[in-house]
Amino acid sequence: MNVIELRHITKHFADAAPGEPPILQDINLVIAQGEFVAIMGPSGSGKSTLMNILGLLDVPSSGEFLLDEQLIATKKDSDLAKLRRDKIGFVFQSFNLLLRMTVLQNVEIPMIYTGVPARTRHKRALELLDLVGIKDRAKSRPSKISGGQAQRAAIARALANKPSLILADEPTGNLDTRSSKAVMDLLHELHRSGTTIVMVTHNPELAEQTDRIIHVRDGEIVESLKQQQSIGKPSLRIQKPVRPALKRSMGL
Amino acid sequence: MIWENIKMAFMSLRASKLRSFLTMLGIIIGIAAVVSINSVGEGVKKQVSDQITGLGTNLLTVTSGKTVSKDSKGKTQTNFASSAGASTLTPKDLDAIATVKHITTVAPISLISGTVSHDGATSQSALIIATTTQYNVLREQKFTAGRFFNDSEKAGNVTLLGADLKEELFGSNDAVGKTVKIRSTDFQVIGVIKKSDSGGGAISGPNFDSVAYLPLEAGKRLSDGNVQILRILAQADSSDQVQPSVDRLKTALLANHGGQEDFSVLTQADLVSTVGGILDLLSTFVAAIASIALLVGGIGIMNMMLVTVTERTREIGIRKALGATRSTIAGQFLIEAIILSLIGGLLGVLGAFGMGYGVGKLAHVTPVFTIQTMSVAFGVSVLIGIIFGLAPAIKAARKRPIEALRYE
Repeated sequence: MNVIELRHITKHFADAAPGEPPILQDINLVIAQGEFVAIMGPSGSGKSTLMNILGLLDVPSSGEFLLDEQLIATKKDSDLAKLRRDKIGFVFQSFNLLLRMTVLQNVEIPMIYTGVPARTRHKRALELLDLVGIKDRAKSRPSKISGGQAQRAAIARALANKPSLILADEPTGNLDTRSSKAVMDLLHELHRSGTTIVMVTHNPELAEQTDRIIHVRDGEIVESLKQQQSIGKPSLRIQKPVRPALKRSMGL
Repeated sequence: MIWENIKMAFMSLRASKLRSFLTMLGIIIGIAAVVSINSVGEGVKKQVSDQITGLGTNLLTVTSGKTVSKDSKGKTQTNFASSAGASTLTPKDLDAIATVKHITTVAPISLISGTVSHDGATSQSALIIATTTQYNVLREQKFTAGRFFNDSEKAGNVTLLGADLKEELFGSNDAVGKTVKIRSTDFQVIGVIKKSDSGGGAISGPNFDSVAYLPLEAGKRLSDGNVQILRILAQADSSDQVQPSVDRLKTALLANHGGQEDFSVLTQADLVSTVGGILDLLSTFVAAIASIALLVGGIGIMNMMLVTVTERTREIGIRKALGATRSTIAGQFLIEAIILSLIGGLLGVLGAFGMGYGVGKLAHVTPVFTIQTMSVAFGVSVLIGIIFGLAPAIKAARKRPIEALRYE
C-alpha cells in the first residue's frame, strides 16, 4: 500500500508575480507504507513546501495528492484538520511544544482533539513518554527540559493518535550529537516497527541511514536514490529488536 | 472538549494574571455598580414595604392633596407638590369616615412642631404626633413599659415615647412616670413603645421609634387650638373590604370638601407601589449609566483577546498541525473570553456585596440580593464574553497553519 502518492504536483506562491517559476514543479512521488525517506536539498529548493503539502498544511496549486489512497484535493478545511489529527504526526526542528503546558499535557493534545476520554488519554500519554524515555519529566514544563528531551516529547506527541505517517522536519537540527543520536534511534525503531517516516535533513550521514534519499532542487525532484541494505554504515544497520511496548503503542 | 477548553482558558489567564485582571476591571465595576445599587434599592423597597405593612392590617390612608392618581393605563402617577402646603383634612372628615360602612376604626395623625426634652437633654430627631386612642387599635403596637393613653386621658398631658427617643432622653433608666418637656409644657410619660423591626431611615421615611405620641386635644392646646391633620388612618373590617372602601371613603369625603378631590385615599399596596415605582426608576437610571462601564469592559476584553490571538499565533499553528479544526480554535478563544468576563462578573458580584453592605450601613438599609439579580449579572457577563470574544475567536480560527507556524 502507498501512504503517499503525488501526481504532477505544482505549487505557485499565492502572491507570485506573473512569469515567476513555481516553487514546486511537476512533482511525482510515491512513498510506500513502512518506508523511511529522507528529503534533501538547499534552502529555497521547495522541500519545506513539499513537506507542508505532505502534511496537509498547504494545498497544491495543481496535481493530485493521495494520502492512504484517499484523494485530498477535494477535502474541506475541517476534513484536512481531521486527517492531520488522525494520520499525520509532526516532528519540527524547533519542537513546537506549547510552553504553557506540561510535557504530559502536550502529548495529550492530539487525543483531546480526537475526543479520547481524559483517563485513557492520560494513561496513553504516560506510556508514550515512557517509550521515548522521559516519563520522569511528564510534569515538567518544556522550558525546563533539554532539547533532546523536548524533541522526544514532540515525538511522543506525534505518535499519540497512531498516525500512518511521521513528518520530521530537520528533527535533529537543534540538537547536539548525543541527543541527535537518541532521537534518530527512536525514529529508526519506529521505522522498524512499520511506521512510515519522511524526514527533511541537511545531514548526509543521517540521510544515509534511511531507505531512500530524495533530492529536491529548484522545485523539482532531481534524484531519488534507493539505498542498498548493504551500503551505509554497518554500525547503524544493526537491527536492534523493536521493543514490544512500542509495537503495542503503535497498534501493530 | 468544552471542559478541556475551560481548563486551557484558565491556564492562559493564569499566565497573564495582571493583564487579565485589568481587562476584567470594566466588567467588575459595571456589574458591581448595577448589582449593589439594585440590592440597596431592593433593600429600601423591602424596608418601606415592611414599614407600610407594619403600620397595621387592612389600613387605608387618607392624605391631603391629590398626590397619587392612576392614568388611563393604570400606571401610578405621583405629584407630591400637591400635598405641600396646608392640609385640607379636617376633624369633620374624621367623623365622616367613621360612619362609612365596613370601616371599624379611624385615627388622625397630626404633626406638632416642637422638641422633646428631659432633664436638660433635648432630642434632635423626635417627631411629635398627636392622635386619638383609636391609633393604638390600628397600629397594634407593643410596649416595653406602660400603656397607650385611654379615653379618660384624651385631653391630658400624657405622652408615649418610641424606643429610640426613650433611649435618647433616659438612657437605660425607666421613663414611665417621669416627665418630659414639649413646648415648655410638662407631659407625663405613661408608656414606651417597643422598637419596630423595620426601623426607619434616611431614605425610607419617618422613624417611628423616635416618635412622641400625644392625645389630639393636648396637641391642639400646644398649637393654640389650631391643629392640622396630616393623615387619617382608617381600618377596614376585612382585607376584602380594603379596595371597595377606597371609593366609599372618597364619596364620604367629597361631600365634606364641596365636591373637590383635594385628598387621596391610598391602600397599603398603593403606598408600596408608589415608593417602589420611584426606586425602580432610580435603579434603572443607575443601571443605564453602569452599562456604559460594561460596554467599556467588553471592549477591553475584545482588545485583550485580539492581542492574545496575535501573541499566540504560533500556538494556533501548532494546534492546527495537531488536528484542531477552525471551530475548535474559535471555541477555545471564545471560551477564554467568556471565562474572563464571567470571572469579572463574579468579582463584580462579590464587590457588590461589599458595596451594598457599605452603602447600606451608611443609609441604614439592609441590602437585598435577589437570585434574579445574580442570574442577570452572570447572564450579562456571559453575553459580554460572547459578543466581544467572537471577533478575536474568528480571527484566530482563520489563521492559516503554515503562516501561523512560521510566526515568531
